[in-house]
Amino acid sequence: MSKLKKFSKFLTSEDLLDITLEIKKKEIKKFALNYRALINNKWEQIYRVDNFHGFLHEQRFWRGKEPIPIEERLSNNIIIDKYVDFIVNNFYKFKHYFKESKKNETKRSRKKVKRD
Amino acid sequence: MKQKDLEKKSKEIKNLIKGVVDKTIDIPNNSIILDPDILIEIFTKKRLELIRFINQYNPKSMQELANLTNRKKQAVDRDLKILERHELIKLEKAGKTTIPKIEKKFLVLGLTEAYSLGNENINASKSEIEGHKKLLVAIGNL
Repeated sequence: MSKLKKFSKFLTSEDLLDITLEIKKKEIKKFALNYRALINNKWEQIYRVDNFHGFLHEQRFWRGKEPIPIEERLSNNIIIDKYVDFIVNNFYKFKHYFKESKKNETKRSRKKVKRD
Repeated sequence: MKQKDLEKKSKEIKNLIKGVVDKTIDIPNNSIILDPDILIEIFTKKRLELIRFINQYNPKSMQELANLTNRKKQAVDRDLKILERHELIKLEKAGKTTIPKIEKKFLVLGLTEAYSLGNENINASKSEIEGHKKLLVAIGNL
């Protein structure tokens, strides 16, 4: 029987990585890595990679919520290592992109209000 | 954060995941894992005291908690919001009052030596991760 493990690790006091693992016989069957950041006193989901819906995909929330399929032929144990590296090495950049997208969104909605 | 620190952090997380998968590290579900540098940013003595009092007395409002700790409501409010932001407590609205509740039962503290929150209700056990002792602190009644 598989076992579900969930825990979170602070990268900094304002950056959090949520880790969810479905483990069966010491092997990762499914996983999710979810990076969140504290922006304006609110935890915002910024990047996620998971294979919980039958296929490996990532979500770059500064671009939108649409899942982007990823092709990987490696084992889950190796893929998860690869994406931990990817998130830890890029989370500052991701946060910056997210903040920029929020700013642009605000500008767009202000323009729309003016037009209306 | 420097590249060297990022690499260290990444290695730590990968070892943690490996340990959880291999069952050499047993972390209760919904744990939060904190490194000492982050720990001292979040947990001041007063904030630890608030957690202890919430756990022990289940105050029904912020004012009650302020009275219990002999602190001003504003100061308690500020500290509770910081703890809430870090998902350590929950602030539940009940009409006009706000009830502070313990959100997480466990924190895993990345420490090199045993650490006590000074509360007899807190249970602790240790596990080894890469030669460093980690202290598991249970908050609340298990």
